[in-house]
Amino acid sequence: MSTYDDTRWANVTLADILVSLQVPHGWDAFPEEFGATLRAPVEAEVTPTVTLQVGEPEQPGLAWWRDFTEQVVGHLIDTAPGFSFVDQDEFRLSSLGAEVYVVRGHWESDDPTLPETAQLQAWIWAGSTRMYQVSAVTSLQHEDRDLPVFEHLLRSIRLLPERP
Amino acid sequence: MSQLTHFYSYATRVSLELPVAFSSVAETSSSATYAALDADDELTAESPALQVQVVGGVPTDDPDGTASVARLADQLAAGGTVLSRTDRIVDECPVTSVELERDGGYLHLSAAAADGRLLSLAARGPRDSAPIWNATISSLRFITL
Repeated sequence: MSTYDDTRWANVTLADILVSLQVPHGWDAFPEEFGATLRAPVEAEVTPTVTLQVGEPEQPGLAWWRDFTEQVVGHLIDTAPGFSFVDQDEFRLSSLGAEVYVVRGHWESDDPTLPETAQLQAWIWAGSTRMYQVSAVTSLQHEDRDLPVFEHLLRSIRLLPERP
Repeated sequence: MSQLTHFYSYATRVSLELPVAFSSVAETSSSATYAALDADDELTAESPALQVQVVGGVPTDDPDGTASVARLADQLAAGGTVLSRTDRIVDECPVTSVELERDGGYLHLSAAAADGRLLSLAARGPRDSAPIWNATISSLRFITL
């Protein structure tokens, strides 16, 4: 079985949303409205998938971001049936002073035919006019293999400046 | 808090990371310069600095640019005492770095070929700044938007 340490990384630019990041060799990138989907080679149960979406914060200013990060875990627990919180993390990217808030959790569907998944949700605040949401999912069975990949991918993100 | 700051220049189409003390201090249509300013936010002759410059195109008879990079690295190293020379692939592009002493100063000079363009990356600083420049070269991403 491959591990994080075996992973070879490729730089990918998502020009429409002004993001550069690293994904494992063999992953594909698909542009979407307001973002992109990054997908590992297809697997039987749950294909490891990462989606990025760009938007604007609901309100300008750092105070809104602070409130948002204080409430996000509770909001997920309250509004996403089957979600169970694992842990959270915060760090800064090297670009634009952007702050990142990360939540890791598990999700179990009411439908017993659907596999339980491990998820990483992250929000990137790059000032009052630019914000990203990153959602990563894999099967719970492959959590130990794929979560470090999701973490690397997230931390490799560089936000590119607006075109002159 | 990140210990690095990311810079991207539309002029050079180069993305790189430098320690947080660095700022973008100048940009032309074909170059970008970054420097660690002193305590008074001044740029001095001793300030550690890096200039990235597009110096030309890669000839069609050298499609991957390896030979052009080697030639440019030779030119960059001329007139100095070479301390080391390193060939590597960064972001799938050939990069050759030369450390040298010239006129009593330390220089870390690199040549790269990316997207059909030939680039020089000229860094100056104290002798012990080599790890900074090596890390910066490893951080390169060549991005055309």
